[in-house]
Amino acid sequence: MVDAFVVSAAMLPMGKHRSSGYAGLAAPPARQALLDAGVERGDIDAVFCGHSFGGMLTGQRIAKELGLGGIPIVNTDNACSGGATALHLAQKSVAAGEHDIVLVVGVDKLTQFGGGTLPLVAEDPEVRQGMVMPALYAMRARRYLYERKAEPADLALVSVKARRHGAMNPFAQYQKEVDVDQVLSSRVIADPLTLLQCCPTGDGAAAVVVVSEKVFAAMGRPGMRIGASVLHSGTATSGTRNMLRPEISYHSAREAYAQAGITAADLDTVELHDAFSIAELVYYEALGLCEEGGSLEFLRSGETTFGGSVVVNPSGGLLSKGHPVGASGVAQVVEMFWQLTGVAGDRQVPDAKIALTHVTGGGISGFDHGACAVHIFERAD
Amino acid sequence: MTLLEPLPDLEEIRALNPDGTELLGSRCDSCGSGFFPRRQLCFECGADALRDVELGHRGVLYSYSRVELSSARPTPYTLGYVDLDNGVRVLADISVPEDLLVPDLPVALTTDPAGKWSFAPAVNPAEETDEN
Repeated sequence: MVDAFVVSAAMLPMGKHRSSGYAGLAAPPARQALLDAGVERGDIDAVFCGHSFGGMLTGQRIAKELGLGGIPIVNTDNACSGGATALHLAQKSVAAGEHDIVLVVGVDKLTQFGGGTLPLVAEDPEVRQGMVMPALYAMRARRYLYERKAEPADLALVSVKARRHGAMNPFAQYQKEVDVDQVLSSRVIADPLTLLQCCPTGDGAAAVVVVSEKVFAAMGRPGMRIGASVLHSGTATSGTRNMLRPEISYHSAREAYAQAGITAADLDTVELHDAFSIAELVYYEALGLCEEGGSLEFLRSGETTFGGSVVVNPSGGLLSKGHPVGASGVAQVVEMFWQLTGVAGDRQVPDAKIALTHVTGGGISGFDHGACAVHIFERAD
Repeated sequence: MTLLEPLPDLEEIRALNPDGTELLGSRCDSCGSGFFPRRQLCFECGADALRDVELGHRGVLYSYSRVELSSARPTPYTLGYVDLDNGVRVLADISVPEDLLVPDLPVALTTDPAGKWSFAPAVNPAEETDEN
């Protein structure tokens, strides 16, 4: 098996880019990633493009802008895990010796829906009943408050941290700090979750170039080795489920740690799927960053912010950076690339060597989530 | 060579038994798993021997949320996960104000004059119904 490396990374500042289409959003970061890697168009062996709402042939429409053609282009939809799924396929193709240089793109344009909650597929019985993503996470939050004897103000601390990190990130959709009162007094979306505890809708695109070990060595650039790449689907059950122990993330993370030969304690920084405030707390535990039941204390301890032992969502996370669903999995990797190559500026995690990214993709009944992807990266010079 | 037929969409057809007193679901003859809403394939064991069964009308409210913003239907509405006494989890409308709710509250099926079903706090949760 060949080791795969990320050798360049670029993304668009996230926001409401209403006057751009999918190709217009994704072409600049894709082009920049190629330039940064120093590869010519003809060097690219394949393109993997993650998106949810781009329609047919999204990857090809982007490739056309760059004059890329005559190679395999694969479009992947896995809800919010689409971009990470594209990276997973890229890593597999390099590891298998099929390809040496692969472009990975994640893109989505949510402003096309004119606001509101993410449109889910109405074939699903729970969606017909009125299930929307904020409602699902709100039920997680309600259960968390009940079982952990926590308060809504505790949840708000996640948003406060996310915004503090995002304020240092010129690529974030929200770059303004907020306090607990502002979070709690913002509009209720699905009780107990308020607007500032929900990731914004917006548009964005991110791209990375993945290369084989041989190519990476020849390039002589800093980058990161993909130490683990894990993709799981959910497992359906008609019975009860502990919403505070999302097993798809739990199992994906354990598999990733085993693949990379590390433990959660080795991580310097993590980008996890904080689509809603409650998610970050639940995922601290699922990823093994803290003990089961210890997430609130862990957040309060400051261990997950700058100066702590594992900086979680230095980019501002989905809550602050933004969450154009198919783009997020790749955008997380872009942030980790900047962190591990030491170019993250004001929000640099000192001497970051080992990083993890985690996304889930939800929206169908019977599952904890439909998809989950976990990647682990190690600094490589 | 088997001529196959697609699975019809059962969801909209019927959620309640004929007299509207119990949720109608499916049970798998092979492994005994219960499902709501009704379905034709058992995703627990893979069998296709499912039949309609009454799933009861009582359960416990696992969690809930009053939804104020939704692309799915007009707001506000309150959704909850109800764990039926037989272990099946159902996403249901909850037809009482949120301040009357708490997780782990015993709830029971209720229908309005128009036949729309939802769950509400059980009046006598401890009292087992023996009206058969």
